[in-house]
Amino acid sequence: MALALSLPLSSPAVAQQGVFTPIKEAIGSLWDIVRSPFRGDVVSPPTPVSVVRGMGEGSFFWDGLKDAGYETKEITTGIGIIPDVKMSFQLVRELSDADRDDLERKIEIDESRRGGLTAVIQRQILRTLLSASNLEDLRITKLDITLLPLPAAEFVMEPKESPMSEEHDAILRAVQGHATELRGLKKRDPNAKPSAQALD
Amino acid sequence: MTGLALAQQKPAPPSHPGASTAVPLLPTANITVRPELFIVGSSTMKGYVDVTAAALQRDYDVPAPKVSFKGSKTGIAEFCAGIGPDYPDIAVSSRGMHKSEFDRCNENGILDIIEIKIGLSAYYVATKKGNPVFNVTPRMFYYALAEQLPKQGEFDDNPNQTWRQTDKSAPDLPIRVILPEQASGTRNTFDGLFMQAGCRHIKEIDLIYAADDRVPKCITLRADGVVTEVAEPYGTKMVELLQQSAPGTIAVMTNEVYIAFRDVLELLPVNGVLPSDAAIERFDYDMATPDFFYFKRAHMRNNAGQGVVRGIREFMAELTHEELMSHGGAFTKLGLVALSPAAQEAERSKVRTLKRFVR
Repeated sequence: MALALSLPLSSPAVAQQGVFTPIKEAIGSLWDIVRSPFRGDVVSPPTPVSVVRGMGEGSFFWDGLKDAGYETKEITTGIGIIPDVKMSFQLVRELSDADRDDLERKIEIDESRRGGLTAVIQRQILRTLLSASNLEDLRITKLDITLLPLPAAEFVMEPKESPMSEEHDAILRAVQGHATELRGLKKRDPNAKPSAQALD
Repeated sequence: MTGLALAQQKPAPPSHPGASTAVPLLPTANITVRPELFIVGSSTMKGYVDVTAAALQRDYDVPAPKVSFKGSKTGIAEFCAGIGPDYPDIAVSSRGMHKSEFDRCNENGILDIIEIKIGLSAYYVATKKGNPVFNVTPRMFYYALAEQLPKQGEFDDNPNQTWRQTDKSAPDLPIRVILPEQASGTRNTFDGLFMQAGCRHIKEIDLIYAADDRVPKCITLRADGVVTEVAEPYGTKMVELLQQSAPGTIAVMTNEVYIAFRDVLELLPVNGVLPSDAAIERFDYDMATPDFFYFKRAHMRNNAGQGVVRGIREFMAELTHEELMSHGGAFTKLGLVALSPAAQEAERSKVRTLKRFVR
């Protein structure tokens, strides 16, 4: 689709015709959406390096994702006639009420200052994350943002009380075992400090 | 309990034209089960509630509302607990209702809530007139006041004694901060706007997943004499302490307190911005929060005059009246930064149409 839409732009004569102006504007908007997360001028599809560079502090959207408790997990790119760039974020921090208020305020401020489709989509993604952070039973554990060929956001929701994997279960049991052992030691001698062995 | 005594509306005084006309199609009968309004929420908004209640009692024959100010969170929780004479009619909050709170309301049958934003309240950092003025940031507050700070991946007692230790550009003066006591609504806002904002995205803090474990690391204050807490109502006492204070002593207060004592106080810029109405309105000054009133539609009287209580719509009309809400109105004299005229009109429209609030 990106290729097909880019054809009218390749001919200046065609682009000048009034009938194509809305198409040109639409393409402009689409490309604007795609490249807006990156700072600086983008003339070619972004590379993983440019994506990471563009995620520095100072961008409302990337900062907003961080404020919403998400960190980058991986960036997937594919090179071709229609390149693809996909970024995965995972939830690393549960939000407090103050975190939510702060992000909500930032979104509200952005709404009063920044118009356009890109900004609307970015705010919508952040609002979705914010709403999900309030759910009692579910949480968005993974967020995939596709930048190319077409912008999209995918949310993966999981129950908050999901069953543990074998590995996590083993860790939890080991921690619980140590805690029981420490409580036993304290009962026998309240002043006793746990031995290094008990903490192994 | 059935308060069937029909309270007649007083004729509107000439100084306050149209208070009654702002409430279209009010029921004429009054078959209610509680005589007075029940208002809960943030103590920082007590002044606005008092002014509105006074206007209501001036224009209508209604008893003084029953009020309980235990903070925004508790207030909204009580508001959302149920419908009926035992539950509040109005909640006042120095922040917007969270989605979880809205859901709780819905679960308890409170389906129609009307949200009115009255303006913005700001929180100021001030010192005694004549004391050095320097820029402060939330990060500086965190480094200055937190009981423990991260040190090489662990948390250790806060070693900072001077403002310069919290930021190189700050003066080499001892850290002394006067704050409202913990139970105060202002303190709760301070914890969020200053302390939690100050520790946000510090690596060691961000590594703590659970908010319940992370927040105490940010808001637990040191107990070595650096912080002085003042009980509510804290304004006079706080300013007295500031007058006796050494250079480097600062206090955090609402704009209402600052306005009352502005002659003897000097404001400090926060994040490089000195508070002013224009800066707050433009969102340039970060330490400001919108103030909201929430109303329960189910407690209002129906067309036959039946309902839990009389006066909710009348209260809403008074609240959004120009005399209170506009630039130069009664609320701004208490320190509230008024909304733009268009935004004020949008709030009045909510009152006229009883527009349902959704989250």
